[in-house]
Amino acid sequence: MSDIFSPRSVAVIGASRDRGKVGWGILDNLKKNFKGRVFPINPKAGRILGLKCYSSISMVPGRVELAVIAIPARFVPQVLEECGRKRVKTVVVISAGFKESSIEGTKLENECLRIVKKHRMRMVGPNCLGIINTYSGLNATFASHMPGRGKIAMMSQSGALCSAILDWAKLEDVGFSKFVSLGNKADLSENEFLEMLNADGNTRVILGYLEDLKDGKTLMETSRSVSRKKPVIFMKSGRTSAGARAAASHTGALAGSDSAYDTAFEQCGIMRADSAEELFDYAIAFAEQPIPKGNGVAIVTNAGGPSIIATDACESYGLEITAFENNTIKKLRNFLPAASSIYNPVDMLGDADAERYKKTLETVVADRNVDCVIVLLTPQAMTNAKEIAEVVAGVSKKTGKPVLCSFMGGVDVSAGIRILKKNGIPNYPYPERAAKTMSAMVEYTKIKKRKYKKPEVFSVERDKVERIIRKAMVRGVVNLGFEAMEILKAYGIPTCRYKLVKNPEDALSFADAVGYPVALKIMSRDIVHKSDIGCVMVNVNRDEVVSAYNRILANAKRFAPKARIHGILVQEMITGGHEVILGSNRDPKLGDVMMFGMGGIYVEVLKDVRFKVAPMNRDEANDMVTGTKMYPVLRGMRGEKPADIKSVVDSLLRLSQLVTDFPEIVELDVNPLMVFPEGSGSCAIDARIILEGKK
Amino acid sequence: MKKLFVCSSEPQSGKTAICLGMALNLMKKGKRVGYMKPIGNRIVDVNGRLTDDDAWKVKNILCLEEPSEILSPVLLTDRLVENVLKGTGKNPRNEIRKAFRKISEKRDVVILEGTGEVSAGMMLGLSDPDVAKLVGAKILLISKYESEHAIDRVLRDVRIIGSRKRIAGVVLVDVPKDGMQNVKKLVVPFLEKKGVRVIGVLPEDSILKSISVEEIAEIINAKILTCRDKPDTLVGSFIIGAMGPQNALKYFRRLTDKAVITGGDRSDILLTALETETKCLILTGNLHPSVRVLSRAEEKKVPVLLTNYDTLTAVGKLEAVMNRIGAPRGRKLNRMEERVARYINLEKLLRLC
Repeated sequence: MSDIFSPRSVAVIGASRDRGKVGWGILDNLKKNFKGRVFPINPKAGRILGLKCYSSISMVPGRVELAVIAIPARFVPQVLEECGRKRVKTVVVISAGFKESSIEGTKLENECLRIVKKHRMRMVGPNCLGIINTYSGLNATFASHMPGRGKIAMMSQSGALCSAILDWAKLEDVGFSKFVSLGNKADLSENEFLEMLNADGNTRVILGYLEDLKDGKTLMETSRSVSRKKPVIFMKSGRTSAGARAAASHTGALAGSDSAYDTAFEQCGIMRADSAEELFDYAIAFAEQPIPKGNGVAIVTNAGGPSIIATDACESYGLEITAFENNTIKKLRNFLPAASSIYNPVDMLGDADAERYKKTLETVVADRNVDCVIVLLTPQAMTNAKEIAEVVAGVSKKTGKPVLCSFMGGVDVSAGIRILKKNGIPNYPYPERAAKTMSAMVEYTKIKKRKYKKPEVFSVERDKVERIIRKAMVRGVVNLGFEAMEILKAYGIPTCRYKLVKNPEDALSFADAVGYPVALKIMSRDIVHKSDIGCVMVNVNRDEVVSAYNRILANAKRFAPKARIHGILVQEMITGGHEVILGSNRDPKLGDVMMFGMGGIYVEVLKDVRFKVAPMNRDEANDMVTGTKMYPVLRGMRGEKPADIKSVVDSLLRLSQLVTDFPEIVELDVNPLMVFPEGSGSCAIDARIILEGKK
Repeated sequence: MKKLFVCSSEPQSGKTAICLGMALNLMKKGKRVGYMKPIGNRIVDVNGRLTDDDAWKVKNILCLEEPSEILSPVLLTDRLVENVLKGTGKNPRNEIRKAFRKISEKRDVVILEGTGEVSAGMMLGLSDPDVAKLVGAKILLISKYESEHAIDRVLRDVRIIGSRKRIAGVVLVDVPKDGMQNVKKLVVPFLEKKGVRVIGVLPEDSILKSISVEEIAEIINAKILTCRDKPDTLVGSFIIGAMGPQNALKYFRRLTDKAVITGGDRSDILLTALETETKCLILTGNLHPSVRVLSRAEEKKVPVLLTNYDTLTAVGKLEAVMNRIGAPRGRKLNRMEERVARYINLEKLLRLC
């Protein structure tokens, strides 16, 4: 796989003599930087840029490992065939005119993929800017700049964003290890590149700009391990509904729910950047600075206002303004002016010179409570930003703790900022961005420490569920009510006692058996909101059973005259527990997204819910429950006994196993699950399952 | 020559489809089959001439030579009705008789289709039983069976027809699948005991109730943007995509035979629909969709229709034709032919004529 970035020979199919054409730009970039052999392919030209041209790739003597293709889309399949016969390993299809442009283009793209697969080649694109490896000098793009070497690898689904970033990076002196424009992702996508960049020794941090995922499941699996080795930071656009619509039109990206992406990324250790600015704020820090051991931050400043801004930001992003050790305080008191603040944040006053910065920083980084440092500077009368920057660089080099700076200002601090940059110290124009970046670094420390345990497997009656589902699918039924309860039981989730009856006598005899009061509800696939039309009766006593039975049927006939009625479900009434909701919903890209939340009538308003992508392990299921606002209620408030949280977690895990075992299940709701006091378990009162319509 | 008059207990119970199904089966057996709808009530203009829509379609499907004014000699036009009410018009009996004589020439079987329901045409003195008597045909009564109420309607119609001898038998159609057992075990014996012969029991059929993409395109005057080679794709339900994609997904999953109706600018909804089992996308307001949507639809083999109508109008037009089988085409016609062969004892029926 690493061959993709380090070929020994490259052919440019569609190399052009016309300056300004894509085929010229690519060749020019390769000629300038690449050490291997370069073969321009152009049937009409003799030599381009001093290189001998070949009429087709098959005419090239010797091996070609990488072919960059920049010819009109309709000719691409034929050229791919030739590449295949020439045993080319990788093709980068720059050409546009595929899936993004028309139905014919879609067919063409599928054809290309078929040919690539047939010849066991790998393809980047089509419709992309190309790929760059700064370490081997491979610039197989038509971008006008070759970035400098660095530790940041970037992949982007937007080619336009690629060229903008490359241009910006040149100005800002940001270096890259690898740069990939993903294009239409017909073959290679973020999934394969994530693995390649993980294996790449020159890459310290992996960035991605994505509009959709090729395959969420694979991405999650891959990044679970990659993210423990290197930070993976993605910006996934289409967050809002209007943004999602734009992504749908532009990329054909299907809008999964954005919270599902948040959940999935969080679960597999991908950090999500909210903006392109944030993406690079984080990237530069991860590329150059060590990660902190904890969240204790020290702020060192020469001005009061900015330090308060920084303190607020740190606190709100989850960093702790750490309390210094006594020794630190003593030392600081020794050399700082009396008016300065020696507690965190350390305000060295406006006349702080390089020496004061040096001594203070050395003292602070030596403190065991300090995990990371944010250095602030404002240009005041005495401030020499350049000297101070040198000092910060010196301290940063010697300590293993991350140092981020916010040298605020413009003209007066620019020389200092240049020195910081040269020494690998990220500088942010305002302290909030430094604080947010530091909090991302702390977050990554946690990700790095994660140990992923495989989901446990419960012993369940899988065959029984299989039978129920198969029977429903054969009959073309997608909406399971009564059977959903049976399925829960088969997977070891306790349900209340219930019976489907077809006459009032049976209702009465079952009710007698379970005891009063009971609940009666209609069972019909055609009635979704049964309580809205008077088809649910609760707290029914013995003398009311028959009339409740009749009233439900009458209401059903009146309000849903066409509904097919399977019978009436009689259930024991369950009281004395907390109502919670468990569920799962298939996201088209990420798979089954499990949900846990508070039940009851305010659920729609309070939205106190947590999500995880299935299959999940016990830690993840626990997180779901403890992450809700209602968790303290479950744990027991005001002398109440704690609820049986373990039984909720078990039920979540069993459901996670259920939806993983049966891809046919696309939606599942247990609403409510009654949770009893600790040790007494829980019990599903109502459930619904939606099966996928057959394709 | 056998003469069979097909009438029904309620309008839109699928008479035309059954007539066609029987005719095709009989033709296959080498019978020369004639058809007429003596009193046309679904009046349409064909090349400047008024005719009955069912008769016109049957004529084309069965390739009948008779002109449509023979196939449907009396049309229930507003003028005819007004004349009848005033008592001025002449009685059209003779025209029916004449047309029937013409059609029955060199035919082994003539199938006559009734008008709406059994009693329709009574004001002309030409209810279905009256016409059947006029041409000496036996009656086949079609009844939709949605519940036990259908039994009442059958018995009512038998009483309207009067003489049991005039009745060849009854066919119960559209029987809910989970009610088939009940009908066979209880309802059929009950009717037989009452002297009503049951010739066939047809379960409900989702294919016949559905509507093809081609028909939809005609009804809402739509352009077919993708999968033009699949006009036969059948749609069984409609759903309007006006919500957010997350919500839409929940609704879309519950219907597997659906067409999704929404604006062409709703790429999010359209792509979501394509993630679920969808038969057709109907884009209203003449908003052309993004290329990505079209590509995806083409990949998934889902026809995309583009209409000028707004969503409300389009839905109204489609609703008006749903649940009406009319004269089936394509797959639905084959289906009807199969169903008649499978569920109606044609030989027995002809013996009774």
